[in-house]
Amino acid sequence: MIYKGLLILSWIYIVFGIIGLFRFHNIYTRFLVSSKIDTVAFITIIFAIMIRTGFELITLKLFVVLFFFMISNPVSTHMIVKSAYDNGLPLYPAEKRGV
Amino acid sequence: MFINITYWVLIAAIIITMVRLILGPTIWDRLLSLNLINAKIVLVIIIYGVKTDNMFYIDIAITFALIGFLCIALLSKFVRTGGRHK
Amino acid sequence: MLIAEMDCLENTIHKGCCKMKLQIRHLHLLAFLYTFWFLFSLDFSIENALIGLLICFLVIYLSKNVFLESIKIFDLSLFKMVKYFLFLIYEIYLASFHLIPMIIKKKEEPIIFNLKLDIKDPYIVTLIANSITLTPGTITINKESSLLTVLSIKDDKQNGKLIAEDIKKTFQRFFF
Repeated sequence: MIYKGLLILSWIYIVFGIIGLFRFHNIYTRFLVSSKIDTVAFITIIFAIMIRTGFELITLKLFVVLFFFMISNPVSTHMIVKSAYDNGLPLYPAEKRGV
Repeated sequence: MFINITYWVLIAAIIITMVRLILGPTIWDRLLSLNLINAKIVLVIIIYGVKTDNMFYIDIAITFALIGFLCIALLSKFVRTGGRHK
Repeated sequence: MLIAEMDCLENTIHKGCCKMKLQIRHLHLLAFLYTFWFLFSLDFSIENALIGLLICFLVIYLSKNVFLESIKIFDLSLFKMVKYFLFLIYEIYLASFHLIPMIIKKKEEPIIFNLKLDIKDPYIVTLIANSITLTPGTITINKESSLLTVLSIKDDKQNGKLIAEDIKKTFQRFFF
């Protein structure tokens, strides 16, 4: 079935998001990798549940969740990164310390 | 079956993300992991609703997404301006 | 002092009451709220519809001083919006497949560069900025009129010119 495949894909995305959260040492890379991979996992799981329930009124509700998430998630990520950037967190901290 | 495994994978992911929340070196690491936990809790609520066949959990998920977004926005603005009005 | 301020506030609120006219934006808001009422209650009886209408009018009446006068409804056709949504989802998946090998190889060389869009409409610029943030691998940091500051994970050795051209080519062709 299609929804089982999508769920397996979402597990892969979640696992890679967590690996990205712990593997990188630079904070900006962590922002880029984990937050975005998480977005893809969210979209995949919502699509899988939409396909599983079939076309009903519930599907519309799930679509509202997806739409709201796609509006709000970039805004919150942008606000966190802007907060870090405006406070002067350096892009390459290790190099600057070495020089 | 598959829904059940997804449910436990998400809960394990939340617990592992909490490690980053506790030992993150800067405050933005903590904000980032809080954001990830928010998104995953929304998913957990939806999947619990699907598992128990009670679709009104989706309303709770929408409400949680609203409150979580507000929380992240206000916290990051507070951190950006250092508590002062700018 | 405080009493004078309170009087002033009361005056403005009263003036707002008298000036209250049904405008186009109130109708838009009514349609929006009524759709959500049915979506959340899932009950199509006549009583429920009447109660919903009453509550929607109450909300519009109470929030008459909240919204700005110059609110503009986003003017893209529905067909174009759906097309843009599908295109965005395709872009997200495409970029995510490029991002997974980067996690395995542990390649970290982030770069910040500027990107000048040719579009002047602030709504569409905001839409494009949010789309750039939603695509894995790039985040918009700042926006000043139509100049965006973008953080990207891939470093071409030319100060981000290639990535900027790529993003412009991808997102701008929808709005001309």
